[in-house]
Amino acid sequence: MTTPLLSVGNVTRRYRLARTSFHAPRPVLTAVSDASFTLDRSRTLGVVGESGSGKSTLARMVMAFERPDEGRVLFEGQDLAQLAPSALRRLRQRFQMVFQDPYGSLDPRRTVANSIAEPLRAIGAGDHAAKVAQALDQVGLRAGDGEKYPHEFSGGQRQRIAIARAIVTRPALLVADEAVSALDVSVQAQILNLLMDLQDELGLAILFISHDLAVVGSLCDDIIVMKDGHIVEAGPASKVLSAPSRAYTKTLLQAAEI
Amino acid sequence: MIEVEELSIRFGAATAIREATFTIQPGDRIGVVGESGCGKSMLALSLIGMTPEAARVTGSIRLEGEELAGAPDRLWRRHRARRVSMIFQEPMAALNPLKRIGETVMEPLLVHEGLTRAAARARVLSLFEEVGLPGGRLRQFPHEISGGQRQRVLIALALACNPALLIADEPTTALDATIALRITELLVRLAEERRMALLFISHDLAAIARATRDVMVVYGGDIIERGPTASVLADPAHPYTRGLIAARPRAAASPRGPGERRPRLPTIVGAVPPLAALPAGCRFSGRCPVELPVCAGQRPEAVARTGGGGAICHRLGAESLTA
Amino acid sequence: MRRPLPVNLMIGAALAALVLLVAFVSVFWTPYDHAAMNIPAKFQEPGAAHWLGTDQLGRDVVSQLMAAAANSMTVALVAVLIGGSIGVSLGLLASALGGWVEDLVMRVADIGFAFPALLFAIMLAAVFGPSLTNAVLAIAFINIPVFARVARAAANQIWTLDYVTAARAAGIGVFGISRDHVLPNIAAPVIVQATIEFAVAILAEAALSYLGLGAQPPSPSWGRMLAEAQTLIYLAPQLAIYPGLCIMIAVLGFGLLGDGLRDVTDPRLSRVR
Repeated sequence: MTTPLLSVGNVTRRYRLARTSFHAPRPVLTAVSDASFTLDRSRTLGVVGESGSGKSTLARMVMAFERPDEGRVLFEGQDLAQLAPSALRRLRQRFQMVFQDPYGSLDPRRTVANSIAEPLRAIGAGDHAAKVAQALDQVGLRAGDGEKYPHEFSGGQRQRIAIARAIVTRPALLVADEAVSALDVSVQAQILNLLMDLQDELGLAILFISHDLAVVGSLCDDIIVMKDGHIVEAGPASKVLSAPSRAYTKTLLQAAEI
Repeated sequence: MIEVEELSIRFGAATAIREATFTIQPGDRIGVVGESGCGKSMLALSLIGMTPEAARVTGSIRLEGEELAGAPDRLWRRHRARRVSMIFQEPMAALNPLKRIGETVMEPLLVHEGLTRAAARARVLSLFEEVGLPGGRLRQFPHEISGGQRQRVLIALALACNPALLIADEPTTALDATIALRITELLVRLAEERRMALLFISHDLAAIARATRDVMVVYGGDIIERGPTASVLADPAHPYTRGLIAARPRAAASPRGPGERRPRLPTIVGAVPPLAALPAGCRFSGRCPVELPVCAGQRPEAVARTGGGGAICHRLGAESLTA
Repeated sequence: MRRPLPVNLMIGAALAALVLLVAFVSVFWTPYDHAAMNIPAKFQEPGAAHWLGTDQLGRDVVSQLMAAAANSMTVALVAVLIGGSIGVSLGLLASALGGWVEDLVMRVADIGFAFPALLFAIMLAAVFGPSLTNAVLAIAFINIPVFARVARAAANQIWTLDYVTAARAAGIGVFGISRDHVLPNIAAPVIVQATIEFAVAILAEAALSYLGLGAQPPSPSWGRMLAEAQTLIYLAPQLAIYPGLCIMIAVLGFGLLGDGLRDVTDPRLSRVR
């Protein structure tokens, strides 16, 4: 049996909140509670939930921006929390992220090519120009677009740029946190198709986080439904969508359908 | 109740709305659907006289017979809250964080209706009950309640002076799906119980389907299709409406074996052009998959559809001529 | 549809430019040597030879004012540069590392805020003797907490943005991110603050020189001219008025310029019209 690309085992993450009274101890919020899943190469796992469900915290733990209080996040068999900072920074080229807001995820003062090349600079890889041009081409932009600044692009194009930055180091895993939520329907479909194309082309595993069950259904092999920090339903997308076992999933499904 | 005729809203060279004509009757629930930058919010703001100063509003907006297109703010102010009211996308931004929510809702009652504090308080309590807020919330501050409850407060505020028309601009977009369902249900119920007209603006076809009886599809400042919501969504006539509905992801998936290609979503090519760079003829030309040579230069006429409403498209005109 | 530039910005820019121009010219040319004494020609009325007359030692007032402008600008510039770079670095550091480092830096900044600049300058003068250099250091020192606060507040906002998270995901360290992304994007508020602090520094230099803790004779300074004229206030009141006016124009100019820049770069802080 081969090691899964990403293996999340029984992770729990708690936040200590601000004091509400001088006497009482600081309240604790359990953002993610005992969550486990695995994700293999060339597969897409959808994480669905509403705000406060813990899905973004889960993404931040997978990206090693936060350490789980309990449990482990194993990427290619390595525990991210155990890695030395320099080793973790080197490993980061293997898992990248795309964000929700295409306006906030690009530094307005840098050219597009400069932003896309950032992960390459971090690992000291040479020959930036060729790789950046290739990444631009892969997301459907022209090589000449690299000289422009983010404000010259529409929201959908910016999301393409953000995706180009995420794939320029040829990662094995892409974490997409509400990556199409801020986009118009017609643009959303283009970006979803692009993600599918890139997955076929590069063998990417995608952890796709969204509040929209319909979007997740169009893209994902497996689905996890989260509520209040717990995974309340998990399984193959076809099963979760056609025969949801939880009333909560049914409500989400109802909200997504015309 | 509201008659809008050939209403245009321009910003310099850019046209946000081009010659829109429609009416709203008491009890109507009309959806305005479109992507960002199509002019739908401008249309909503024009019906309450709150278009930005730079906007040039021409044509006619008659509110119960009174002509208000391009009227000064002073005239509009008489109608706001009392005849026409509006709720917005971001409920937190629309509430004064330093004021208890009960006070906020009470204010228009004291100012517009001249009620005593005791009478206003009683009205607020009944409004809160109507929108499903416990009376105990009266003394709470906006940050102490959830996003869905804030939107309920804003709905109560908008209803305080019994408006004949409630404009809801993306009222559920900032909310979680399950909360959004409840708010949509609430708006529909209120419109029916009060015989109040509801203009529901959204980019979300699912929300439009739940909230409205009729729908206007806006693209590039034109109302390109209109009709009963169910029939427009089930059998769209305009290529843009068709593309929009097709591009919507479906919450249905089939298992995919290793190496198997997942079906791609149908897309509309390109992106919505900026308002200043729209084609002169059909606004959708340049992106339309079934474009005719005439489309870019000449504006299509409205073609009626069976069951009410219609679409503006040269294709439809050509087909109906040949038929 | 660009909004017109605010009036305070335009007036401030004009006054500041005038002062800077005069200071710059004085480096190469003044009507007379500012230190050249001519006792027989003391207390001359303004005229063709001496535009604003001469002082109690027969020195040309215009030349002194011009040379003092250069001194004042240099002191303000150096002090703001030193205080600004240390303060911004500390602010960036606090914001980047967070936790106890941030707490420590900001609490120390609070103490710095509570420490009167004049007291510090007097301390420096007592230990190292009064000099323009010590005045510069004192003014720079009081600037550090101001810049640290401004930089940290602005940087904390930048750190919440996705492009910073993206840089972290790319494997860039916190110092790299501070340099590449945070610093360029907090430039606007820092420049605004620097302009305002420039005005404060001009005033502080004048005050220190007035107390004899800044520029030492024969180096000219508006503050010292004011102090010298004070004893002659009944004999030649104009000698006190000229440097006073210069201080006012310079401080007002840079102050308005800073306010105006803030109005332009941060509409939230400008008055609601």
